[in-house]
Amino acid sequence: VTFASFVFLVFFCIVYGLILIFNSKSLRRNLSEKTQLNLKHTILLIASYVFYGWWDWRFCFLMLFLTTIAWICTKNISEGKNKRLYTFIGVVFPLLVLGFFKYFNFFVDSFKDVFGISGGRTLDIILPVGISFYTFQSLSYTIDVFRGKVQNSSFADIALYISFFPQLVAGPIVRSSDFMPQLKNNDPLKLSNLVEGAQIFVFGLFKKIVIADNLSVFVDDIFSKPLAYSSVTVILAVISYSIQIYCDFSGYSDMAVGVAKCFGYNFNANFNIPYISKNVSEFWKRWHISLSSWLQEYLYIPLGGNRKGKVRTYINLLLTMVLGGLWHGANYTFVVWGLLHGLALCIHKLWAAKRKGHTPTLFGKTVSVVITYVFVCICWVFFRADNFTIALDVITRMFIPHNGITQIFFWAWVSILLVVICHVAAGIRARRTHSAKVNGFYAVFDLNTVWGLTVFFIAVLLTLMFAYTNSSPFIYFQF
Amino acid sequence: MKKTLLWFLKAALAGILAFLVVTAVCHFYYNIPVRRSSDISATDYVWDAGAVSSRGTEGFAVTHTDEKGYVNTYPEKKDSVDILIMGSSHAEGFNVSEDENFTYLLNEKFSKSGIDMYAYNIGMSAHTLLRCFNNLDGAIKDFAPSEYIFIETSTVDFSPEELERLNAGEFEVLEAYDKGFLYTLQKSDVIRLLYSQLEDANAADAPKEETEEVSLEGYTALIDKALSNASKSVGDSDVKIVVVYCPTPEFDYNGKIVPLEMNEREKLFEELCGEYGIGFINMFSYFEQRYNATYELPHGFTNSHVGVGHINAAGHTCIANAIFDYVEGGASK
Repeated sequence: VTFASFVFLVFFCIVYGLILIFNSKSLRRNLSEKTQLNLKHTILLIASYVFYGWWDWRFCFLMLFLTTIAWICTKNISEGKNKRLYTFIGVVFPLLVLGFFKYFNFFVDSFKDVFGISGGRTLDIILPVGISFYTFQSLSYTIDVFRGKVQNSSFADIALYISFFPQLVAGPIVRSSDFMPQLKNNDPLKLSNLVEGAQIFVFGLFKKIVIADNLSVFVDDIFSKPLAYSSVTVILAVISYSIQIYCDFSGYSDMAVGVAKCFGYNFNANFNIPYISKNVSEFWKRWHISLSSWLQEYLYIPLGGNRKGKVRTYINLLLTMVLGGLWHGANYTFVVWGLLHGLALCIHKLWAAKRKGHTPTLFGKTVSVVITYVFVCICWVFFRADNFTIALDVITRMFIPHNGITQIFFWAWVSILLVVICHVAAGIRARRTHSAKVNGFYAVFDLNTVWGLTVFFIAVLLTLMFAYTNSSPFIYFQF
Repeated sequence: MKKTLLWFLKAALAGILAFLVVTAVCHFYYNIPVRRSSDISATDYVWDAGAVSSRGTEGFAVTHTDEKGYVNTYPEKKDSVDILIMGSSHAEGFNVSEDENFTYLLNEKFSKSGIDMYAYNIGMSAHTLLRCFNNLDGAIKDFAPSEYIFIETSTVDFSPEELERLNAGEFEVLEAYDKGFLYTLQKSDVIRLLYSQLEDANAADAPKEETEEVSLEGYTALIDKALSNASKSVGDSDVKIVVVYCPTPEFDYNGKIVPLEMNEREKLFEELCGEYGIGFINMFSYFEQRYNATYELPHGFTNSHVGVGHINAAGHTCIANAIFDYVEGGASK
């Protein structure tokens, strides 16, 4: 089941309908508040496991195992028993699980390469979908309990936090401090939440199945044989990929935010129009916010952050970004992607220190945005390419003019136009609200008006009409 | 209750407004005429006569159908047909503008070089080579071409089941859906597009059909009979059937065209065509030449996979050149 499927729509309606039945006034009158809450959580928990088991039911046990570890550890931590030992266990076990499923073969192959060992065996391991997301949630929950940021919760609540289906397979990585308090809320399902959630969902669906999936046709072609294409085509493909990955991932996040909203839960925004960033530091405050803030809080700061001198700060930055790159996948291309971002963050830190107190002009800001975007696009080449040869061929073709097949892909231009329009709209909105910062927003309409309903129906119809109908999985499912 | 009823009224009004807006969008993006059954037996169905069609799903082109329901817009028409063009959506000219269609280009070339020939196109979507063979008698009866019948095809390797049905005279006719509820639904471009999207999605999810395995001997017998029947269709007349084979060229990592390697069944088809006096044009060399000169592939558009899909303007030009060379060269009939 993916969000962009008819099966999910049916699944959602069943889950929503069940909760709605248990929310009915007559039942609410006869049941205690705690029972009502337990019922709602039980339905959501079962639904989440069904959702996950749809891919491969065996991995439900893996999730259950991680939940049990988190529960045992946090229970002991909150009772003050061997706090450090249980925190250690609560962190190491999820990392071992992640390491085994995601990185075992990668490390074995790398070891063999380094020491020139031929032969030997790697394991035929299936990567459980969404493992990087729920292992991170599991271990951060343990750390948060250890730090006293959240109180220990019941097994069922921890299980729901780790497995909650809207964010289970591709994030956003939800903080326990944000989610756990919401589990105590016993408000009935609200029509206003459904209306808002549905619109956010459709917005995300449009980004995914119309923009990202249509662009994938072009991007996949060019990245499979870059040397066959002209430089202009390759440049357009790289720009297209920057939009594809943004719409694919932020589209999924929007859908997750929308679905959670329908059930009355709020997730923080995971993206905030990242391509207007004036530097790489700002980019990481706008791109995959839940991961970058997670890495900052649970990796960069524990490593020492910027508290241990300049050199350590740069080393910490590099290490955080390299590990962040590796989190995306067991491939050296992701390591290079992380390393490039890490280096850029270090350079920006140095530059910012030198330019302290300097107010940039509008021209300066524009140049900064362009340079940052170009740099991010070059990094995306490593992220997208299957190997270094392809990445280097793409970059060579981009910068050394060459003839070849020229494909002026229609959806690339449509996507660029839409992205520009959305950015301009966000800029106008920031001016109107006198906001110093341009922020993204969801265009949520009042579905009690003919105008609001008309726009919503048009959005739904256009999404269905222009949807890419071949299978195109979410990029972040593999992570 | 009153509030709910009011909301439903608003929703209905909004639904109508939204439908009108997307219909306007569809008028440009996906405006396809209705299929009609007709007295003409050269094709299983025809399009609405005199209809305008626009399609943006692969490339973008606006075309018109003539009084018979085919795409023929070359201005200098003749009453008699010298060359009849048959084939599928490729021949019909999906996604290419009318003056880029190979029939149009061919007529233009005849006109410019002073050759008194007129080609008429009855290319129609889903009319594969075997379907065209099945309709050959009808095509000769309806259009009475005096010189050639060129049949465009993207494959010359067929499923034995299809060949068996063709040889047994049991080739099923494509339905026109020009009556009843389905006909009414087809009048709405939005509904047609949504239906097409649904069909595409189902096709993407559907498992691949397994074809019956037959020995080369068995296949030879089947294809032999099919070609023998096709050659009998023209009887003793002076009309020559020519198969125009348009394979999809592939290219390697460095952009070089991968040489075409025909399998045994494809080679057999070409060989048997010769035996039955059916002409065979393999478009591969024309496509390859064009690509090496201009990097243009014969298939695919600005909205599709590179080099895959319907034949584009470059491909149509190559086909027009190849047919022109064939006719001008006076290939023996």
